[in-house]
Amino acid sequence: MNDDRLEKIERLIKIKKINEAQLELSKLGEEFNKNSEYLYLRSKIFYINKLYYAALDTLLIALEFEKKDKIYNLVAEIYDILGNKELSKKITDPNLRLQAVSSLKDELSGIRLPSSYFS
Amino acid sequence: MIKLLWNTSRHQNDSFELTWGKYHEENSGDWIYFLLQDINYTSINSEEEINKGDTVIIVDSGIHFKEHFYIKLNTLTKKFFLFHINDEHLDKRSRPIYNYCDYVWRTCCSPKYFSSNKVKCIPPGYKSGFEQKFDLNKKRQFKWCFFGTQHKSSRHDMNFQLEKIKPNFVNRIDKFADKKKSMNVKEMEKIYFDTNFAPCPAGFFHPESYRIYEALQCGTIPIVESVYNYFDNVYPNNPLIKIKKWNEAKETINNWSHDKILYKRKECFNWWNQYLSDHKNFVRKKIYE
Repeated sequence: MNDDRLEKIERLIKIKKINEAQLELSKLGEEFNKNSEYLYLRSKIFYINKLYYAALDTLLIALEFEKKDKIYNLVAEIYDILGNKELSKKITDPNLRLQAVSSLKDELSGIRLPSSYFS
Repeated sequence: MIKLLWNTSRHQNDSFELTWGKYHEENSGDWIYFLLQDINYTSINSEEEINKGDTVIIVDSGIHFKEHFYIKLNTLTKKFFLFHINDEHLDKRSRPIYNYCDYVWRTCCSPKYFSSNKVKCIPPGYKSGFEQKFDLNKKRQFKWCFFGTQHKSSRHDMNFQLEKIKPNFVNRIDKFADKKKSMNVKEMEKIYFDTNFAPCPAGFFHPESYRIYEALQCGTIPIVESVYNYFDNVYPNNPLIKIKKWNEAKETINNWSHDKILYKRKECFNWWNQYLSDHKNFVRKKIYE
């Protein structure tokens, strides 16, 4: 967590004030688009609203910027809910997750970001 | 005099918008011309052919790069109507341009337009060439079909959940509109005519896609992703099957009886034809009022 605004949003999500959290997120500007914590919180809200695919896409993009355990864990949790137990297990395993997510992204043409995006 | 100007690949300096403008000009013609079937208009190729006092219908995309053109139209015409296609990103800069128009039809809706009295949301329609030439009562061979890319997690999960349900027909391509691997409209139509269900995952940015309306044109039942109840908000009382996750579609596709499928196919097809007829009438009334 690297910003007071993101910490505030995380607190709102924890106490289930989802609409308020969503409103606060919408106030943040484009400079947050590459911030993995911001993307994680957006995913959390998608997930709570049962928008599983929007949550997954956002988490997979967040992993392009930072490979955090909590991001992998939420990806695994969502695949478990969707019924893809095998993929969920692989992503839960710290030894297998990197390869599992990389293979998954290879199958998706719209997730990997061009190198120019990181410069 | 009423004049129609297709403007998607004119006055456009933005290369992204120009590419998409050409794509939609090629693919959306039948849909837009259908909606305008009851209007007595003359097609024109340039604004030079507009005379003061004409009523003009513009079909356009990437309009936020063309404000100058719209200011000019506003002063030149008696009335002008815009069919705004391809704003999948819901660009914030589109809305101010609407102020210059008398009335707007737009594809890819957003909640801000649900209750607008100046903007009407319409489907993106079907690709040009899809025709309703089939026997609705005929038993169909394929349980489901899909044509397109697997760009995001929804389509990946759709494939994971449904691939074992056979017979199916899948033509997955790696690149959007891949000329070598994509099937043409007539080939796709032939498959749709022989298929019961069409899973329709969301488009790249928006829940809408041509796929939904191509399926409806062909008497196939669309199964759509219910993102923020989009389809119920835009098309109230529609009979489309809606899911939150693709494993909810398995039971329907695999186990529904022929009678139940036929009933649903007829329900969807009749609803779509009623929508087409009602909306064509609405366009006529709006333009002639």
